[in-house]
Amino acid sequence: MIASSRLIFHIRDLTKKRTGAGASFELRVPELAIQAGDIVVLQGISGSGKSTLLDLLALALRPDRVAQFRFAPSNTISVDIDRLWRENNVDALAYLRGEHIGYILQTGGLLSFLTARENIALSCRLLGRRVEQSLEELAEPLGISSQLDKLPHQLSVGERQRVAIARALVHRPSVVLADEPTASVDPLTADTILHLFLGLVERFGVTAIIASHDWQRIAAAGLKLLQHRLEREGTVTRSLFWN
Amino acid sequence: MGVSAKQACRQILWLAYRDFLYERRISLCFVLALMAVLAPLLVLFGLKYGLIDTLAQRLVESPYTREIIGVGSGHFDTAWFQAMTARPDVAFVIPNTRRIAASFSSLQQLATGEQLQAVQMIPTGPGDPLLATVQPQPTQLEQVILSYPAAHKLNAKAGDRLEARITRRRNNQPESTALQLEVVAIAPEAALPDEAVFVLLDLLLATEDYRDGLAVARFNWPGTPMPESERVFARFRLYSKSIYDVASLRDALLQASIEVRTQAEQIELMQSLDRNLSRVFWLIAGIGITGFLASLAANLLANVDRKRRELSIARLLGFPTRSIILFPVIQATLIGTWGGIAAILVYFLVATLLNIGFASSLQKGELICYLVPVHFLIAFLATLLCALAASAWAGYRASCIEPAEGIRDV
Repeated sequence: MIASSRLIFHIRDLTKKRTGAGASFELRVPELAIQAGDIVVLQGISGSGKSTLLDLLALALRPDRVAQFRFAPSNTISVDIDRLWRENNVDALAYLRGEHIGYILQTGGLLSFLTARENIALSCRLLGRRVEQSLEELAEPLGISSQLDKLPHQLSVGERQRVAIARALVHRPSVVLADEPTASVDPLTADTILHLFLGLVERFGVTAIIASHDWQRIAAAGLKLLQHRLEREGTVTRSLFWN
Repeated sequence: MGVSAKQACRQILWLAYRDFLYERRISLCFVLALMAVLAPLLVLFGLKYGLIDTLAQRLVESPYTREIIGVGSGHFDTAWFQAMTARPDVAFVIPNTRRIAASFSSLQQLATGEQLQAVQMIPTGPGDPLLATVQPQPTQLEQVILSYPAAHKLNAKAGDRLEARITRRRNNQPESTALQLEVVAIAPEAALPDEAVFVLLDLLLATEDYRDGLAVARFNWPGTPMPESERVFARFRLYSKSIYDVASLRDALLQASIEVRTQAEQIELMQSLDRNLSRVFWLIAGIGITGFLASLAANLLANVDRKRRELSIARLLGFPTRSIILFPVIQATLIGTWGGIAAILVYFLVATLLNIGFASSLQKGELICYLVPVHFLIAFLATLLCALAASAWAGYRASCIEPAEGIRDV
């Protein structure tokens, strides 16, 4: 654990609305402060806005309204994300994503036309970094060393998820976001994958934010649970997350 | 440090290429679809450029369509011929004698003895449209040019010597005279399909005089002395400058009460046919080009929609927006290039078959389906330009959505 009181994310009064057929959904974050090095769990039933919150934290979704949104990936960098969105500086946001954030999607999110190795290496190649050594270091504990030259469709769902974990960590990001990383695998495999993932997160000292609908599975120590509440007001479903 | 634009573009280029290869079946479909619309367009343009232009050119240049033939016999004096020569719409005019007088009774190849009876004589001179490509031309009275059928029958070639015989009846007695001729050239097959011999006007006049029972001093032929009166010609050979002058020249002659036969009606018919064919051609080409560009754009737009997830993932990984636009642009360039090459190959195959098939009805050097390199260049650049525009637009649209949107619908 990094002994630091730095807040890697600090959000106040964020709102993101989504309107569907007849009903609308509103995500609200009164206050969210995540310490660097924390492992945070977002719990909630499916449809409660966990993915939306992760997308917002991944700088991949524009908030409707926010009083403050600071992202401090290192001790020397602290960025006003709200300003970047207002200025529509999408390249700066892409830069921050590429350099400091790793994102594990529910479905893996691997590029189907690249091998596992190439998928993992992509974020490093984008950053112009050498990748071979750190790639092997990740593949070994994840147990995918022999699968690296296969295409995603030749891998099992669990193997794909491990490749996605490797891709999210290989460029040593400050924060890794995981959206239901084990939702599409059987419970035994899910336990193994979660265990491996949390092990790597602790080893690298990276901040992790994990969305899960059955967080009890995550039986590691030192987990912080976000507060969450669903409200209904007429046709509006409001989901609140805070800590 | 960080993501450099150059690095991102290089990686996107690689990704686009890998995806194109990975989806080779679909890529092949796009390439074939492009080929399927571009190749017929190329063939159509090839036909327009080859067939229609060749035929139109042939029609414009052909001496037959430009010829104005006098009907029956008239009385044309030297002044009339001078006036005709001076007209700006006249390309070539030369006096001709009465039809009955304008022939050799027989023509014999001296070396082999082969003979032709009653060979038509055609007066010629510098600028004769029928002999435009023939060299050398006769400069002396004894020098002649044989038409292709005549040369074929006599088995004669340039340099051969012939004996021409001219017969007449004088005082109810058959008489004949002979003279030696030199073949200086053979007219091409297309110039004249009849057995005939092109001669200088003075040789034709000498034979006419001889047939009329007159004495011809130039050849020591006996007969009545020449009368003093000015020579009047019964016929003429007349060619207009271009096919567009035929109608006006015909009208001028008809006004002078000279009855003529021309190809004017056929020319007008051909011209209106050409206009209508051109209209039809451009209509088809217009539909074809519009369809081609629309289908190319639609294909590429659909392709970008299919790639939304991949593009969103790339953006999520930190690829800057501008580099994302490159992804469909590169794939469109690949599709455009391979589709263009395939279409040109198909065009060459079809054009070769057409040209072989129609070879018998074409003259040497003429092609029914024909394009020059600049046409391919234009087709290729237009294809690429359209592909780039459509894909850049589609890529831009794809880059406008937030990265999170594209990954959620799968």
